[in-house]
Amino acid sequence: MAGWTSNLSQWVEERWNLRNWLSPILDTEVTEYKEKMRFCWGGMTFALIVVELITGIFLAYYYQPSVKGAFQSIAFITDQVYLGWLVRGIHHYASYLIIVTVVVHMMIVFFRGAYKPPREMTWVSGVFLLLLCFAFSFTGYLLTWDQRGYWATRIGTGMASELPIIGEYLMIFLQGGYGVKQPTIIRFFISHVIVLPLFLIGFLLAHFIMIRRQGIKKPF
Amino acid sequence: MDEKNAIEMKNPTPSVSRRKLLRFIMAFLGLFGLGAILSSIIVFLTPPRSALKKVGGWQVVGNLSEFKESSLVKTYFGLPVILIKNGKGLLSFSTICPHLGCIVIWDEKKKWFICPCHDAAFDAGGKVLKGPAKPYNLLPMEIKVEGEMIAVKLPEDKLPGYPSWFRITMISGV
Ligand code: HEM
Ligand code: FES
Repeated sequence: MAGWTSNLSQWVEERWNLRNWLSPILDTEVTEYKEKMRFCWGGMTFALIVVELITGIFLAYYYQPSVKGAFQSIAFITDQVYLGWLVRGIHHYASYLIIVTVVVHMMIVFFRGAYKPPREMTWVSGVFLLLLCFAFSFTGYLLTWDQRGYWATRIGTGMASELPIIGEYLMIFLQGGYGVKQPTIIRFFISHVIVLPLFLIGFLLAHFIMIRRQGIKKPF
Repeated sequence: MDEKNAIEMKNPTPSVSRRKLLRFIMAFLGLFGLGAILSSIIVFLTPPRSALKKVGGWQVVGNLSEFKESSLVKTYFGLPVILIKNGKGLLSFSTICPHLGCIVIWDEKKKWFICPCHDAAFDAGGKVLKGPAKPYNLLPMEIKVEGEMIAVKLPEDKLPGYPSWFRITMISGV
């Protein structure tokens, strides 16, 4: 096959010799169970996470993490920014879908017994990923700074305060003070867009490397 | 005799125990370093004392001249308290619903406090009538009138019988 595509791939190949280097990935056959819907839920979750990362970065261009600016900037994104309503809507609804796909994924893994040795640590990393999804949702919910987000956060931090011994400290720690105020917005925003994504990428890598090394569990 | 055995004969004590000790020391230092880093992160993220501005103790919330007629209710934005004047005199309650912390409002027609969040209701004396706030009543506040000034006392210490978020919210100034 002549033409510019093969020229291009030849040009790349001559310089960096990628074919060899990537062959463990490119030449691995997709498992024979590939047609079955039940093996797709992890991948669907990951696809949605990529959607969240991309739309989240776009939102962050306009979002203002302050008591004065938060709600107003969200309204600005929704009503003024070109396609802002679309980006925000995708970010919003994909975050709900992630919870659905991740829970279905987990249930399928559970009922197939795929968490059993030698795959225990894949399951454990999955539990961390689930908790990260919850943390993303909890911190993201406050960012709109509307009645729903504000009160949901008050209830969430209030729950934390009921833990024995560390409860009150934990509530103040989460809020950055006695109330849900400016320090809380900053805390939640930085966690939502920097800290949690870093942890997410780390745990995703671990999850995927282990799956690669061990392969998908054969169905029983 | 190879080199390895020769060394072992010169050192009768097995060097394994020394290796074990070194490994133990390294592990200890590693864990110590990790603990130092983790605890520093937690310390850094803990809000400093000066950022914990609380509104506790006596707070002036109004003026007697505002309460000429009875059955008058005033809410104080910025402070989660309500002043109410009825047949019994001047009363004050915390407006924080003891269910999950929403702000209750006074319904003048029905003469009760109603919570917009999950429909808890409290009578004019703060006693819970219905809804998920049971068995907690509205927190009554101590009132002091000095001259024309009305002050209420916000709690500074633990409120026995109320959940801990309740006190923290009380002193945060909503
Ligand atoms: C697993 C990944 C994520 C989940 C589950 C998630 C979840 C959420 C949720 C529930 C909201 C509230 C949205 C709304 O009600 O409109 C939100 C808002 C937001 N998120 Fe994310 N998010 C994720 C990743 C990210 C990333 C990676 C970024 C940026 C790098 C980001 C930036 C934002 C911003 C700026 C907002 C405020 C805008 C808005 O509320 O419309 N998010 N997120
Ligand atoms: S917060 Fe008032 S009834 Fe739930």
